[in-house]
Amino acid sequence: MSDYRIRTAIEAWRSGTLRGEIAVDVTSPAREAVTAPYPEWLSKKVSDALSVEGVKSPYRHQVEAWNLLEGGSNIVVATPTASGKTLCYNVPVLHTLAVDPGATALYLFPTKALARDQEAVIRDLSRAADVSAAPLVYDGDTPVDERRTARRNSRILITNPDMLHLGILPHHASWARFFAGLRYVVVDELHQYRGVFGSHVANVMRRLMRVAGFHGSTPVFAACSATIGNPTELARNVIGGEFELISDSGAPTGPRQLVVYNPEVVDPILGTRRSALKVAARIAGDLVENRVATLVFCQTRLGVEMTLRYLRDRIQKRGGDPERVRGYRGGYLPTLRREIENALRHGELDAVVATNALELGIDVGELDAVVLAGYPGTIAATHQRSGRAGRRQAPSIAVMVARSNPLDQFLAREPSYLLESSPELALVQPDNVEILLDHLRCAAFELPFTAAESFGPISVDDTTAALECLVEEGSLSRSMDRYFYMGSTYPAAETGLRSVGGEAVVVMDMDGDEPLARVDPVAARLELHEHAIYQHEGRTYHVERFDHEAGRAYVRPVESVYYTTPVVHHTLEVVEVAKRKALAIGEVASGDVRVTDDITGFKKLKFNTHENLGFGDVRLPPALLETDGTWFTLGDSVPRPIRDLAQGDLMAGYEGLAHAVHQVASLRLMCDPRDISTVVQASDAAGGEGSDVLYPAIYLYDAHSGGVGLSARAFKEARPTLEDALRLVTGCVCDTGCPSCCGPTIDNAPPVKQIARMIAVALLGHGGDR
Amino acid sequence: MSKIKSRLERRKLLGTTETSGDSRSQIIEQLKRRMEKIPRPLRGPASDDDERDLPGEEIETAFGPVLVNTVEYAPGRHHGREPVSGFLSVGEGLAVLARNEALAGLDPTGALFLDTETTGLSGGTGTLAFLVGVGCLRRDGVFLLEQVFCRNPTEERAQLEILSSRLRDADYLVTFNGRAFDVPLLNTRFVMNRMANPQAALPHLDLLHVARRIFKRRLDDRSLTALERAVLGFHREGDIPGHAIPAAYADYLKGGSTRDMKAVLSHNGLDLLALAALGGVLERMYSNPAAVEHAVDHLGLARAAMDAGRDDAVDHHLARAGDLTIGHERRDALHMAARHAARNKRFDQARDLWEQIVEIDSTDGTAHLGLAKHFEHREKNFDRALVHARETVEIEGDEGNSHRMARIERKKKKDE
Repeated sequence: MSDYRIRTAIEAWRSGTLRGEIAVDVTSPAREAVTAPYPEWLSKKVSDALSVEGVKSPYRHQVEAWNLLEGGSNIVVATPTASGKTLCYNVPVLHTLAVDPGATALYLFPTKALARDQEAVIRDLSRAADVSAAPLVYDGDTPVDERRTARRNSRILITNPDMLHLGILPHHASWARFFAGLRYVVVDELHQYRGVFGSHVANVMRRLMRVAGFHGSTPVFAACSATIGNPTELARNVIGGEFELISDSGAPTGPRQLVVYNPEVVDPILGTRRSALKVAARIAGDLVENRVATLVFCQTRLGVEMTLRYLRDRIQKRGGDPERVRGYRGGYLPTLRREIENALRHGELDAVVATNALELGIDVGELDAVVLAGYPGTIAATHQRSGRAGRRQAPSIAVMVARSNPLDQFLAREPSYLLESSPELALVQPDNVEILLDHLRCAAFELPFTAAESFGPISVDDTTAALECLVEEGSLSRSMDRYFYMGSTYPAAETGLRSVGGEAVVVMDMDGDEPLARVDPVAARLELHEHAIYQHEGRTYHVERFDHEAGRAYVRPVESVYYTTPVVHHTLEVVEVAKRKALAIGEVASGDVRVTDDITGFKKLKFNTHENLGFGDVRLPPALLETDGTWFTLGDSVPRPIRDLAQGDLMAGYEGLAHAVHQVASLRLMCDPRDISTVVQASDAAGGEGSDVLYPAIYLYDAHSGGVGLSARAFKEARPTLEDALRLVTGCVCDTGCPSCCGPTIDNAPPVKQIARMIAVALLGHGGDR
Repeated sequence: MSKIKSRLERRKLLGTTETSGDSRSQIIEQLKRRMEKIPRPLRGPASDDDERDLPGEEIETAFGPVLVNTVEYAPGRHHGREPVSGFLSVGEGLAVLARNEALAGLDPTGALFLDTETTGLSGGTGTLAFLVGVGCLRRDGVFLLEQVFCRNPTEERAQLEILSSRLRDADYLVTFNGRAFDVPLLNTRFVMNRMANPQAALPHLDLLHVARRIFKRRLDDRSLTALERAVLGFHREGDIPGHAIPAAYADYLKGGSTRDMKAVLSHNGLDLLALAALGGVLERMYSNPAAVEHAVDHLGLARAAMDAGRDDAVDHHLARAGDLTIGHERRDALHMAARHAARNKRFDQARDLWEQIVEIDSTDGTAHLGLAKHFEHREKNFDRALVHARETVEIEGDEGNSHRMARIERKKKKDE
């Protein structure tokens, strides 16, 4: 039935007035459930409770997970959304708690909301199995008396890494009972622990293992991840130890259709397409009209409100009931959210327009279609959102409406990235020296270090060198070959898990009471200087004042038609070359770089068109960033047609290619484009030592002090990254380069696209066709 | 490391990586660069004439040595105006003031006065009590002080060993803010050293809570040093402030001067003497109302006695609180007396007291409410009950009070 109704809607987009194109239309076939019998060792209490809950026979991958965990192996489960991942760990945990009265388990979720959802699930299941687990969410919102109860009685403690870092590990003596019994640690949403956050969390895990060891326990880890390119590597890097991967889901699915809809081009020079919000509303409208229950995802709260308005208007015009369409986003009161969730579950709504607030955990029942207004930023999130459709075995459809930006356009042309194994690599760098030192302070506070102790996988030599560094700065004291914390502060309170080096800048809305956001100090310099337009949740704010001393930026909401981008002059210096390898012509290298940023002013650019509306003045002291970098250069053997180009044209081509590299690298490295930067610079280091000729190179570097593993990995992924960049440039519909491939260009620009292409082909030695 | 030296270091590094790849640890090199940025302290080495020795002697335990400074204070020792041995008269009074029955029958010579000095002020497993001061009073009035000092953190195990033995010998603990600070901190230290915790079983008299209750009307600052000034008449000179102690110890560990550590020992000793003297004063104030200097203190004492159901003591203290003249203090005294009278079924006396209050301040809702209840239930004078009930509603708002008015109206009609 739904199959037929979906087909009717698709016909409407093909033949109707939308005038875009269906860039991708692929259906993956239905899969039957693959089940396995309950293992014999499993406590009957637990298997009976599962049967009562409706699990007659578990899926094969679940049983595989149970057997591995019971056998003492760490596992990482990377199966699709809605494949019953939580049972993979809840079952062995309950079994262990049932047979060992002293056993405990720690559950880590990246957000408070997910923790609360799970608390209810575990409470029901443990009650059904008659296991006294006393599950409790322990976070900043837990009342004081419940905290006491948790310390005394809880056998399943549900928390987030920040609370573990700040409130539990530094007080582990008060949790002696809990840590002494610790048998399992569950790390759900593992893929969220990447970049800066993941690098911090990896160190929190090293601390957790030290503390558990002190209390005499060695827990087994169960991690769950979205389907990314490197779940096992990520588990190893974040948690430590070896992991068994479970990726072959035995859960049944209906046939799933994926459509990427590319709206028509409205400005061929700028590469601008019709608004994805409007097109998403139109597509959702057609689905609703064919009685297909639809969930629309937007990136921002503002996007939700706008799309909701378009969709209701359309439905009203076509004689439908606009009240059967609701919005859902952060900022709605919890009671309203529950009401909408219920209505959705009971089939009382035709469509809901939501932000990622509805992405995870929340049970909304059966939906036939998901419409994504724009690429959600990672392929994993694309799958998680699409997975909200077709929870049972009925056919379902996910439609992604592409925006004009490079990544949306790239994916519209490269559907294999969405369909086949994910190219996304979740990366961390736990040995980032700044992050490492922060956590060594915390670790020494928790337990003094002994001589010849190693911290996680770090060698004794390195650990000792780092501890000596902390003795030098005065936060540790060494006596009799032991290192004691001796700073007068509480070190965990000085280390946030979401930034590197220095306190986050707090953004204060001058018209409100609450802080608006916390921004990494490096990003703050670029986004929060005076007179900048700061963008948050789809709204625009004017920065009135930046108090450097207090680390506060004061902003006021404005309706701005433009955004600002600082004119930054980056000077990059290679401090140390760690690795290099040859390309077809020239080479790629990586190592430590030092970047000096001089902000000399800022540009005001019009939204959507990126038209330059003028310049503003801002004076800031230069900032120094020591980080990891990877760079591409043709060296001194530049082939003929490139060598003959005018210097200005050549540099424009490099800039264009750098822009494309930046975009596709952020996809592969699974990061926000703001986590990495590129700069084109003529450099002697690129040409090799002693060279007196300067050759341009494209430098890609981590925007966070010390690096978090992004550009270091870009070195390994150099060829595929260049190939992606080449395909992004080549495949773009523009003539000579546009914001959707090579970045904003100026009038009378040289054929940037063609030059960028020449450089990439020279580096790769082929035209990028696979 | 000099600039040239670090450049050479880096240059050498560049040379090696080109040929041999990862032969050197990247972390160490990054650390080296980072360490160059740490500003060096300007202080030179500790000077020769700087006395490294702290008072006390090294005591050898099964877990190594630790420094113990023992001081005996003669029976006549005063802290300010008050004798330290005053604590020997402590008995029922402090148990009432502390609201802790367990303290009632205990012998004051079994009290262990305890105060710690720590490496941090925030708690958590990384905060050590580098100095634990314990004291006790002998029957002859001698105050025996022992300060167990870790010359470095590895001496903690030995320190806790000595503390354990003192705790095992004690009947109860006396601290100032120990409930929130010293006791939980030492609990953590025992866990961290995998030791049994002998303090868990001991009754605990935390004088901070007692002092808060008694002096809250008179003193804004109820820190130990403020109490010591106001109550004991003791003025410290050259004392090291508490918040400076963690940094001073860190400095000492780095080989800095011992002058500050001597100041910490003296600070800790004074705190313990003050504790004993303060306990004696509080006991005397409770049991001998005539000796209370400030009439306003009777309010707190009376309140504590009331909570413990000691009617005699309440009467004694309230009688003396009657001298209070300052408006709000006088009103507090009258309120307490009225409540006490009502509770002891002296209803007419309570009524007179409430009327006195209303006379002083016609907007006192509590007094009006007392009167409304009194006239409604005791005297059945519904007209007067209604007047006061109406006042209550006007002053206190509606919560339950308009209900009262309606009820009185009904009764009044029925009466007519």
